Amino acid sequence: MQPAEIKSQLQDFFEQEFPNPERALEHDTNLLDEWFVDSFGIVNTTLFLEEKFGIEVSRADINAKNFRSIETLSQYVQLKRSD
Amino acid sequence: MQKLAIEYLQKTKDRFPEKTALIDEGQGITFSELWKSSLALAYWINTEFQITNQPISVNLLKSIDAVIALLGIQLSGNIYVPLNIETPGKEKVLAVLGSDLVLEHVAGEFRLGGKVFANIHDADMENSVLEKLSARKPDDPLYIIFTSGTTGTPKGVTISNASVIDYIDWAIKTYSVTEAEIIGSQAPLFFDNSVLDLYLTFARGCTLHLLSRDVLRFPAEFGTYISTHRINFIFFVPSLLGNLVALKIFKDYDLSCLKKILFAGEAMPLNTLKLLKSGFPSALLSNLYGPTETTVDAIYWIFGEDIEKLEEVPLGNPCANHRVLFLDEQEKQVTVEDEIAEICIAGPGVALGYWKDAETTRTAFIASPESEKQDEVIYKTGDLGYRSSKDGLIYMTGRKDNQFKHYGYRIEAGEIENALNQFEFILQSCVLYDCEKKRIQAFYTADKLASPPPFRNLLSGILPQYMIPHSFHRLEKFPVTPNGKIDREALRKTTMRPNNATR
Repeated sequence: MQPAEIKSQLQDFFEQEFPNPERALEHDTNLLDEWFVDSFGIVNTTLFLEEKFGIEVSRADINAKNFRSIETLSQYVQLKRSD
Repeated sequence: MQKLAIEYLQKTKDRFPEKTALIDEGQGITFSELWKSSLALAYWINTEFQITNQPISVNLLKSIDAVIALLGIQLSGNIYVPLNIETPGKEKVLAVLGSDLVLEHVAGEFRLGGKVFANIHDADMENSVLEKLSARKPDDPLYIIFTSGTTGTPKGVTISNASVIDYIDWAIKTYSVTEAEIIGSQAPLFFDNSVLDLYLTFARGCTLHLLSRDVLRFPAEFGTYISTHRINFIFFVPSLLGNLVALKIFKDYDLSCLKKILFAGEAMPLNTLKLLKSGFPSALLSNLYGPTETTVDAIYWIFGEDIEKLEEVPLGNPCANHRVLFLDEQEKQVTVEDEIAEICIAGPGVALGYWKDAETTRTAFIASPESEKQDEVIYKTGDLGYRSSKDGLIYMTGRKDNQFKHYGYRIEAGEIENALNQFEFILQSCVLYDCEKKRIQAFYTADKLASPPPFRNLLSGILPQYMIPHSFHRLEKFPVTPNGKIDREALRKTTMRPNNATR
């Protein structure tokens, strides 16, 4: 899977799960401060990553660094898929 | 005989002066320091303001300073009102209180009513504060916590010292709380679950860790924090525990230190409860239930080994000194088991009422219909439930109105609808809550509207963030009931089919 495809799937997921009609979700939008409404979103995103990309998200990887934006999440997915 | 809630700390600071009472972001404060700082604040309030039994709002993030603020205000003989610092609408709260005294902490100093705190050195400080306080009675208010009101006017639930003492003494006995308890505190101060964390600490000399947002948000930080600090007691909202079990947090971290896990604030899903039991097989698990109006909790249940066999999660039985009555639409008592009626609470936890709102108070706090107890006030919760003939326990089935719980926050759908209806392009609106997905959904019909307006931006100045809907759906028209009102159930059925799940 190409990085562009991963990013587009993540974007679809966020727009559908956490609709935010008035603003555009960019690949560098800060998900934690500007998009996630609550901690429930972090759990849902984790489960989505595992299901959609067939990776195992170690609990230690659920952190502010990886979950900051679509860009950082996509890098994380690529890293896990190349393991 | 204990008169005031502050006496818990007064005794404990002599028993464990050098023990750490609170820890926030690595900073600690001992019981004796906590007492001294609170006394100094109280003395300053007394010197500068000369007020008694007045509400003083506290506009601080949960922190050691915020706890000192709550203690200092009660020591000055006044009533503390914890505000949600992050949300709009504080003017409405101050208008209801009829007081614009707001305690803040700016640039390292407490500020109140335009004045900056100064530590007044006076050898007689403690005597002076305690002497003024000696006039205060058990039935005097300790705190006011605000809840959402249907019309958009918040309601100030006013709780007495006596109610908190009754609740804390019950909790100490029920959960065998000693100074060995290391408590991890999740609830914000404006959410009354925090009353348990704080006053158990003051009463028994426990150590209380104020858990940060990131510790609560990221499971790894949570796991590391709990195991490093040997936290053994938590009182959380079920959604957060649900997150932890969904991510099987207990598999990656040694959380065997967690011995007492209490939850309240919203319904605990059966599935989450079972997973919790398998993750923490030897921990005490307890469900608690109670609106703010009954002083944190009025019904509780401690689960035994039979969780696997449960078909529903019970609320349990009334806390000591409390009774649960079921009333029908005509406010007549229902004594038949399994019959669904409104859950009403009687006992020392019942609030003094809503601050300066006699009319709303009268509708929710009524005289008991029991023949020999007519001079007793009971609280009508608006929750529906029944006592089961199978196990004799109380179960909750839903709400009489359109209130719902989202992460423990009590939200009136009507308050969000009122906010939406203020926009001139909105014709009608209806807000529904999807419990499964934990989503607030807004539906509206609109006039002359080409594209969806920036709802979140528009609402963010009016509603607290936790009330802002997750999605906004424009409809051509609403389904209506025969008398022309929006048919909420029909709308729910057409919009929340199980097969439109996104995952």
